[in-house]
Amino acid sequence: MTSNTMLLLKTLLKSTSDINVLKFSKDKAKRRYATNSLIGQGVLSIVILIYATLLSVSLAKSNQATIIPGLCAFILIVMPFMFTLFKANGYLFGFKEYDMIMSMPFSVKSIVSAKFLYMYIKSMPMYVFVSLSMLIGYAVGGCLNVGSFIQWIIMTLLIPVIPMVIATALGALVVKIGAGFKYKNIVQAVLIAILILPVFFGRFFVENTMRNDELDAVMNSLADNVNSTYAYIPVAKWFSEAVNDGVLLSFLLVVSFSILIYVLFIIILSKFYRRMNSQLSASAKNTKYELTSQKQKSMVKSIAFKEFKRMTGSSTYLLNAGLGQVMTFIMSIALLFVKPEVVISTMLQGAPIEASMVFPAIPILFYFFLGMVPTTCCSPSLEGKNYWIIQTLPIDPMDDNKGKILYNLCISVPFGIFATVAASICFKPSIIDAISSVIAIISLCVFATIFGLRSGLKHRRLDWENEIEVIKQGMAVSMYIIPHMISGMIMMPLVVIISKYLHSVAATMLILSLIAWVLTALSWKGVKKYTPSH
Amino acid sequence: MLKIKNYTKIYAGDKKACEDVNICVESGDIFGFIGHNGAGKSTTIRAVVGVLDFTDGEITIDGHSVKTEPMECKKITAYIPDNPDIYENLTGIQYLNFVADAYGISSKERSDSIKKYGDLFEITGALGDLISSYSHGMRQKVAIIGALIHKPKLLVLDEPFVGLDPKAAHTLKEIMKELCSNGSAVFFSTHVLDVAEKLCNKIAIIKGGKIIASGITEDLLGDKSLEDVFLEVVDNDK
Repeated sequence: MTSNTMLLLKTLLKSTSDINVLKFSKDKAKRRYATNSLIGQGVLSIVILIYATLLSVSLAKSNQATIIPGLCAFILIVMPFMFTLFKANGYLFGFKEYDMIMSMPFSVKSIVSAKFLYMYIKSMPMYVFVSLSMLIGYAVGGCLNVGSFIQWIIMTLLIPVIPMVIATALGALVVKIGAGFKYKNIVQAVLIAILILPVFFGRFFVENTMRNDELDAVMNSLADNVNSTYAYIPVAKWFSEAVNDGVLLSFLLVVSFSILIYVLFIIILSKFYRRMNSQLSASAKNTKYELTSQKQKSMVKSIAFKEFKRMTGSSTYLLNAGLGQVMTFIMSIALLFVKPEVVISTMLQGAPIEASMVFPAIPILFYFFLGMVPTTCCSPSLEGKNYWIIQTLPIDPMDDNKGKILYNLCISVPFGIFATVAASICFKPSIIDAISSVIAIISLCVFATIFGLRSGLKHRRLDWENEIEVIKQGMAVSMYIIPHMISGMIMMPLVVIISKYLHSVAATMLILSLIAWVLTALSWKGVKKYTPSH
Repeated sequence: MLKIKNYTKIYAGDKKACEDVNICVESGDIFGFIGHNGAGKSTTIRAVVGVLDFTDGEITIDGHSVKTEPMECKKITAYIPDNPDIYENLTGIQYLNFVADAYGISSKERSDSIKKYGDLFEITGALGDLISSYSHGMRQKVAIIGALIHKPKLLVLDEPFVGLDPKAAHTLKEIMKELCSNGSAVFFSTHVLDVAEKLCNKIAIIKGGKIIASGITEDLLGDKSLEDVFLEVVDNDK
């Protein structure tokens, strides 16, 4: 690593660090935001640590400690791959300070290296937490010694480089392909989604094939799955061999392969980097536009349209906020062509559950996807430096909120209704049950939208360097997504139990809708509280 | 110092942004680059400073090719974009140190430069604050100080006077003159024709990506004002 790379890397880290803000900012709101952000990251790390420790200790207790290294390597490959695909392009291409950095005496190689390493360091704590948790389980299983401990730590730091390089290379390829199109952002988002979906659904199916009643069976199933991944992911095998069997060659293979793939990637990308950024940052101006009659829209519709243009204008935003819709749509289409038994056997492998029991959980499942990242959550922060436009125009801040709400409802409710209707065609419930499910999904979409807006307004951050900071790592999204995931996981079995107890899907759905509306009302109070008065 | 020879930039879809642009900036020149919005000024400037790839032609700085020897060029050049996007969460002094590190400037030299230009632009007292708390003009001043810190042989500026207060604008003009009297060269774009007329010894006018007038200011203007000449050549080129 050259000194220039180090200098750039250090500056990048400093310029996006909350600690620098705490140290130098005199703005109380900014300092509070930075403190909350640090606390949020700490809480998230603790949650990950506890979850991964519980999983690994369970494995150790059921005498499966030897599969922990392989599982750990598998996670260290899949997680970075997924996360990097989502954000690599935002970090590497078209960033705000590109002109400044490129005009300074830094080689392209130094810039690409610094940007990649920045991405690596920013995401590394999460992977380290997962790995350390697995290491605890491995130690509980009594397999740990000094040699395997050292190898484990070194390989933990190196393994994520491989999937990150592959994901970044794929991301760069997508940028290269997309740059040739007029609607390059949409093309890029679609291509990335095509890359992500198989991994996402693959993970979903792997997880569900492990759900059996008996703990031992679960663990055996997990062991089989981990072993079968070795054929496709040799790095997981090398990790396992190095730690379990002390095979030095496997350890050296991990180290050399990680470094080699990184060096090759930097050399290759550096050759095309400036040309790719040139294609992205500059485009021919269309001078042939002829002014025709313009339509007047209401303020709320106009803001909703602005939100639409913002989303389609950024592949990162489009991908993160639109992936849930794509997944819901794919599942809906699948539901139209498969029998309920197939859905149940796929989701719950062998569990003695009838179609009528599963159906009430369907709206929650779709809510889970459709509400993953509501645009209302990111949009207040994404105004960024353009916020002055909203502030200085005669727009009631509540109209701005309503426009944002309208847009998110437009991209979630139709998908929710379509998915629930598709599920109804598949599961064939009564008309009343189907209608009540549609009401439930609409209610949940409204809740996700309003709760997202509450979080977006409360944790609004306008001074971001790169939009990925507020789309993927922002406080607003983090403080929304944790309760969203937890509530989804709690609600899914809960509605199944309530429905069984009440013997009525319709009544369960109406109770669910009622809860959603109560939570919506509470969130709305927050929206009003955090809406600034211009 | 700066030679742009047959520079052509073609975007995807064969749309020409700039075509056969030829410019020569000698040491000691203050060269004004004038044109409508979208005429190709920023595209040319970004190619000169190595930010934008270009399709054809050659750009050299002090004999070094921008394409094949970018590092040699960058070491002696400084660039100030029209809207300086500098790291918001760094303090002014942290940013200036970053730039000084990038150019390998010694502690003594950087301290002197920062003190000199910080005082001239009356921003020294604010250098400990985060850039995110700065006004547009203050960011512009920090970007200018960053550009001057390594005493560049070629200073390239895109609309440098936008957002500067009158005193800072005057200071910048004096600095540009001082740099040129020391053998450096300044190449800048501007819409402020009065400034260009008084400040520049050479001027080029670009329209639709082509240079339509270029030369020594006195020869180009004769007894007319730059505004008259600009409007005349731009209208005649329709």
